[in-house]
Amino acid sequence: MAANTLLSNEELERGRRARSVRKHITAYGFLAPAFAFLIVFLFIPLIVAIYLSFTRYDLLTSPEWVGFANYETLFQDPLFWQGLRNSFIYLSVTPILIVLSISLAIVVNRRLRGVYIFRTIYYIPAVTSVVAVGMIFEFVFAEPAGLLNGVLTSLGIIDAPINFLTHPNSTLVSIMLVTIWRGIGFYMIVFLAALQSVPEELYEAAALDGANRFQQHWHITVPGIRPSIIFVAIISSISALKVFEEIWVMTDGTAGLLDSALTLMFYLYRQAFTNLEMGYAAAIAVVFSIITVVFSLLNLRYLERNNHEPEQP
Amino acid sequence: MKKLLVAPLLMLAAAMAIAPVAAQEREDRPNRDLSGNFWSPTEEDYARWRVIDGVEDGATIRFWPWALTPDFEDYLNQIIANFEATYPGVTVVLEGQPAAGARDNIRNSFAAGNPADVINMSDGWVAEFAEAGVLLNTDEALGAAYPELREEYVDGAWEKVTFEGVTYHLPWYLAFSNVMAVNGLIAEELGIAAEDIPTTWADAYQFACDVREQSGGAYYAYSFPWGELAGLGVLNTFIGEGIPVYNEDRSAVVFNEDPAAAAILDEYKRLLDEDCIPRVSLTDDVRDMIDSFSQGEILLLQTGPQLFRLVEENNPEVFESLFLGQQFVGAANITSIGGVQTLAIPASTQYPNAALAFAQFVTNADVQTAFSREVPIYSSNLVSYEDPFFTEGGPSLTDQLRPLAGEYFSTAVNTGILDFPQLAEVEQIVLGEFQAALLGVKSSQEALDAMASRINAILAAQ
Repeated sequence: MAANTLLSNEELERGRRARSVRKHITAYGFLAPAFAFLIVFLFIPLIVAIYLSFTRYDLLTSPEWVGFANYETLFQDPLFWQGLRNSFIYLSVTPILIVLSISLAIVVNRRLRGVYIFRTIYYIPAVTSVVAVGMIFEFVFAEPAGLLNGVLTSLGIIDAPINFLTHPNSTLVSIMLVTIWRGIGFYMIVFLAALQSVPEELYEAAALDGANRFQQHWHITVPGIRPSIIFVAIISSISALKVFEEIWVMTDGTAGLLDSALTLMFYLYRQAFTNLEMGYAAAIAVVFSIITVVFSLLNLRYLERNNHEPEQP
Repeated sequence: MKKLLVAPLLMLAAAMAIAPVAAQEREDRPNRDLSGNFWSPTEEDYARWRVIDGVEDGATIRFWPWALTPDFEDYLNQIIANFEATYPGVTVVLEGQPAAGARDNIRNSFAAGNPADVINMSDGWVAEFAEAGVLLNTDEALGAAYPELREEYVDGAWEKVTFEGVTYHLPWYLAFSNVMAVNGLIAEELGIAAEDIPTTWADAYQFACDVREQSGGAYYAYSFPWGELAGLGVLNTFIGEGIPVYNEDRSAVVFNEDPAAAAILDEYKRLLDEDCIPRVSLTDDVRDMIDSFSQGEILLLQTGPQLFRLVEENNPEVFESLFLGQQFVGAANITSIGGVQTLAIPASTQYPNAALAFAQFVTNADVQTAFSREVPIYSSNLVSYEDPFFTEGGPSLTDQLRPLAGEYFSTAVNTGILDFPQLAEVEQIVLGEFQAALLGVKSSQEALDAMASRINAILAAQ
């Protein structure tokens, strides 16, 4: 009887193990396609990029090992620093985008007739092709009689046209406006979804306590949608650091006069696909990735720390 | 009964599917000559076209034209049909590349070790492949082996792109570099006749300010596409003004040593500062320049005639008013060869003779004349210009240019500015320093000195 029981326990144990193995196999089976995809399209390219950053490679002939030469050149390259500086300047679109899209989300988060039409209209730029956006803004920024210059001149605000894209000091700012215009609708939708999860009673209670609209939003809305703010801050920062399309389209692939709109990503593209300096471009990519990861971690840490701070009584 | 009916119908459908499409007239190709030897070749034509020896029997070669399909697919298919009849046993596979990304596609095909056997490249693209040593030396393959065929090509086009003095392409179709079109509506409004328009750049600078003043600021005389072409255009301008770009052994550039070079940049800066030319010249490419001209803001357009169709599409009223003027020339009184489309053959091709035969076939006189009948581009084969199609003009603007083409291309000068190693970097250097001079960041002489010094550093590193 005891032997039978022992045997039965072993069988039970084997059965458990077999079920556990089957469960793991099933789980790994489901994970395998995604993992294989990541290996092929992320990890291998990443490793190859790191390897290429130590080579001189023109795409047409075999890579030649050059050690740290690309990195040494990179840190002495004024265009690299100009690109880095412009990329960080471009980051200033993030707070502007957050403030404007939260404001817009609050405006369209009302029970008004036709509000869905406004939401749709505000979202249209997010789904408009960047080439079309480029054509629109070429007209908006055109000189001497584009939309903006024409309106400002006819209102008597300016005497001479503003050189939106033909002055080195204004090119980057003009393109940042395009990014803000494109991004605002998308982030508005994110914040709108977050706003709808903030309980209405909190606003009613705050109103009873005498809080005005601004105080209600500052003390209820902002804390209530903080996770979305963190999400938007991180993804919009990464997008701003990676900006390429708008610059390409608005400057016809030149990065503007005197490379005034040259960002790090644009410089990477130029080195890789115009100059065929793949090794050098890979070194830029590696440095750029490190900067992006460090920046995102700092961003996350700062915002999450604020998120966990207790509310003042 | 049904089977009896269906079977012949299926056979007929299958036969229609595999039968070659008969050449057709097309409304958008008014000059197409279906009775000519290209669309209706004879055995004699095939024998005449068969000029390359040792073509590999059973070869299948891939052909990559760019920006020509689907618009010119019937023309390209006819080339292939004619070629396969000329060289039986060789098969050509047409793999047309879209204009966008064509250069990257070619690079990627080489990187993957699988380039096509005959590749259409714009002249500015060839240098990087030649520099990497992946293209067939056509000076040897055709120039030395078939000198009589080499003689047929326009010299300036054959030499348009060389690397270390060697040519790595066969020139295909050409464009006039500059033809002067005049907006007749503006000319009439301002009372400007053809003979009032200057013919030299020296006079053209002041003319720009005169037109601006005369029109009360309503019109500009002309604009520049500096956003796109400054890199090479400014060096072309120097050559046009008789300023040597290189030293004698081409080991260094010396244009900065001639004060006339700085004077040109000073003049450009004056035109910009005094609003005699549109400020957007700094950033415009050729397409933008044509758009501005089409909008009726600019009196003169100096560009290739093949681009006049853009004016027609943008503004038929302006197009209808156009008349031809004399192009501006510099002190050296030369015309430079314009854009050259080339055919390059990878050095690694499995069928070098078949590929060479096909590239030569595409660029022979008959095939290129037929192409000029499709669209107003010009043949790189001088024999084409003996054809009545070229010796006789016609009523339209582009028709009027045809009789001039033979002389133009036989005398047009190759300025040799595409021969720089690391051409893309040289272009960026020239563009950046050119902009620095025009924006007043540097004096013209400082910018030219910096330009020359940076280019010479690249030349010295070779």
